[in-house]
Amino acid sequence: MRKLRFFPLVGLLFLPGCFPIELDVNSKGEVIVFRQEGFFLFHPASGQAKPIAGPAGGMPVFARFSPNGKDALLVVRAVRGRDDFRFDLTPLEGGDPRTVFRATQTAHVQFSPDGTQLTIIRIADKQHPEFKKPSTELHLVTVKDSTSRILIKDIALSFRWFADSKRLLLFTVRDVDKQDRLLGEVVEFDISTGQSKPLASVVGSQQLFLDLAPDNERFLITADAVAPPGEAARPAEGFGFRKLFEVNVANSKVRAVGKDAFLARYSPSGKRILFTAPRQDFSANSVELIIANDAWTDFTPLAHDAAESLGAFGYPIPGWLDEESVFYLSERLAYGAGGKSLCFLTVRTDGTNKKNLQPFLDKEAYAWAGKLPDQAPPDDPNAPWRLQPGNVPPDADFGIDDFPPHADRSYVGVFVGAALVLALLILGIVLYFAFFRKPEATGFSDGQGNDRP
Amino acid sequence: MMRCKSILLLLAGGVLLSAAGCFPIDLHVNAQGEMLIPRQEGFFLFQARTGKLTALEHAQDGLPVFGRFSPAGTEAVLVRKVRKDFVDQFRFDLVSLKDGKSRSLFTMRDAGNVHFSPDGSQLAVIRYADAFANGLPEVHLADVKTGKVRLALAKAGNVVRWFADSKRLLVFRIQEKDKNSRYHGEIAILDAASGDVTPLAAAVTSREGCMELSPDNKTVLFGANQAGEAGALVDDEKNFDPVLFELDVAAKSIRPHGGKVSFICYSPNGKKILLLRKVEANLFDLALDRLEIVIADAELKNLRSIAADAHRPIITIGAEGLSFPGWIDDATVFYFIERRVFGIDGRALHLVVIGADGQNKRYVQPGIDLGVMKAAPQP
Repeated sequence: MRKLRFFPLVGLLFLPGCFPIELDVNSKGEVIVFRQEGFFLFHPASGQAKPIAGPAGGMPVFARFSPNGKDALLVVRAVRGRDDFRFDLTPLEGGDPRTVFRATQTAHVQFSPDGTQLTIIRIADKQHPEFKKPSTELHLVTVKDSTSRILIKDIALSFRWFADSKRLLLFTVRDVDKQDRLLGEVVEFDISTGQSKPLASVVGSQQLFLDLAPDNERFLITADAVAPPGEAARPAEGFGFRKLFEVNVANSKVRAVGKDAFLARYSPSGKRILFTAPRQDFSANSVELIIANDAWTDFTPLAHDAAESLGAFGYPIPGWLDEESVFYLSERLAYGAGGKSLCFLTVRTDGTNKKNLQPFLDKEAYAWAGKLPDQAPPDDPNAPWRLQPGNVPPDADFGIDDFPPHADRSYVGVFVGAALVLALLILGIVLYFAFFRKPEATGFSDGQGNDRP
Repeated sequence: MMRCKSILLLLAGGVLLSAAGCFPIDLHVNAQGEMLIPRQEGFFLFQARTGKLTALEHAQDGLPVFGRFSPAGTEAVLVRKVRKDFVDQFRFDLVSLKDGKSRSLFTMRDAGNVHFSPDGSQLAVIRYADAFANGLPEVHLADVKTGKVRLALAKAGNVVRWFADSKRLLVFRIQEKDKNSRYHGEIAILDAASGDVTPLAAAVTSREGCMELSPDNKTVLFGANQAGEAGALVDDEKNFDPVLFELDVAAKSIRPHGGKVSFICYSPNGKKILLLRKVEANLFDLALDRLEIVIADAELKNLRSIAADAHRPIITIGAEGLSFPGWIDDATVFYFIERRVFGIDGRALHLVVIGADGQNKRYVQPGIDLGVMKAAPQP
């Protein structure tokens, strides 16, 4: 096996905006939505939405509530000029936003539970010298003064804060096997010492998902195999989906739930688990949404139309509105077989009262389209984040509006994906004609409707 | 090696098979300005002027994919994708708009479009030939009364138009596919009864070629890489994208207009023309996902750009995902945009209505969706 000091995020190499679609919910049941018109507070129960901020000079791609509920962290992809991601802290009750971090190729962000810090994942600039592949960096940002440092490298995108705001639950990659599966450990990472305490051995993939119970005593993980630390995790032979496991933090006892799962999340109380699973009819267009009790004895299917991935890039994550209801995103066919629209749905945990709330959200957002401010916060030439990797050096700085819009690089990945599909298709056609049939001769017409050889 | 060949063959074949038989998003509008919308909840009539939406048929078996009003406006052909004999097929049903009575006309694999003849007695259906043959479109004619279907022309382009006499069709007959995957052929008149083909012009076009017959049937506007007199060998090296040509049907003379075009549509009274073309890209903005809507007069003068955000999918399989604008009436146009509703990757296809003068732009999608929710409550 190869020694590895990187996280082989080959797919993410081509993704300029690789934030998942994960919607934060506050204690009032409001959801923070980011869309091209701006950022909105959406209240599913009433169907009402109110704006937080406009597009702020770019494309809204992500957002988080601060733990105290007074602020929101708004992530904007600056499509003009710098083409990077800007993290603006914005008071929800009025006040000016402040940029606390800025970098290229960022992929996720979380507040510490005490709200004083942010952890931001970034795809590193430098490639591994041996394998020519990028790594991940986890940046720790102090909210108060915007100072930051790189905390750890080569981890999965999915991670969680412990309640004490001093430790993180991470998946660290140690190696890659012949089938390109990631071999590593879930660890309890101490921010101040940089020390890691292994909690589980894991064989997983890039789509591995972690969630920590509210009491911090258990965590969920979707992976190919999980074992106590120090033991070898052995995945089943042959093709299979990721499996759902629950691990005890204190004693690393592993429970294999016995279900295929893509991701799993604890309810606010920790007594129930929401997870997505492959459909029983093997349809690849959507996934099942299932609720389980924490004893893993009761499984209630809620829906079979949850969106699992959106084309090549998007990754929607369902969530809890409260202990009795969940939300998820579904791709609905609004025009024939090809006219798709992503919709926000809610459903109760007993599977009843399923509602599509997207039209209400769209109506409110359209009412504000073009009316919300589209300026970025003032650019601070002395901001601490300027010294971080992924940022333009101060002496090469320029304002957002100084240059014409950058090329929309969102489609670099599309081209690569399309090229791969095309290459495969051409290969198949060539082999077919080479081995099975000769090309059909066509020629010019002789003007009488007859083909001329 | 054989197993490897089989696997690759299956893979290639799977992609090819899944590529055939995909209807574009091409909403039909009747004389009252009602749009026929097929969606997973069923078929609906949307009156863009008032915002009123009514259910025509709720979802039954199969997925609603397409619809056309009959010329008399009293019926509609509704197309559903159904599972039959373990493969996806398209069922064509004729529905009375007066009493809702429906009868199935026929079921067909790999269908891609359908047009009523002006007298309402026939349907011209585009079907894609077997992928392991040539996969090219064919023109089939169906008798509305009996549902009987026959092949009228093989190796045709996927755009057909009926002449007003309901006896002839404007077609593109494919003769050859070149090394650049472009189609050399003829714009021609197909006699529906005899199958005789009368060439009008030679042309070279890509998959993005387009064609439209003027309401008075005297003029054909088409997009091609190159065009020339019928029977001539045309050189297609000059134009990478289709450009606009005008053909006089009687004289068979061609006039190039230049300018890229990917879709053409006459207004109901024939006095205006809607053109869809690529947004001009620059070094910093590839504009790959957007198209421009331009309105011109019938002489193709006084061009006016009214929108630059019409949706253009980056990747399509067949025609699925392609959306076309159209006329609601002589003063109003509709088209589709792709809205980013959750970050960059969470998108939705939305309908927009705008005046032909570029004024009074309205985002009508929320109203449609809310109307569907009321008419078909279960999500």
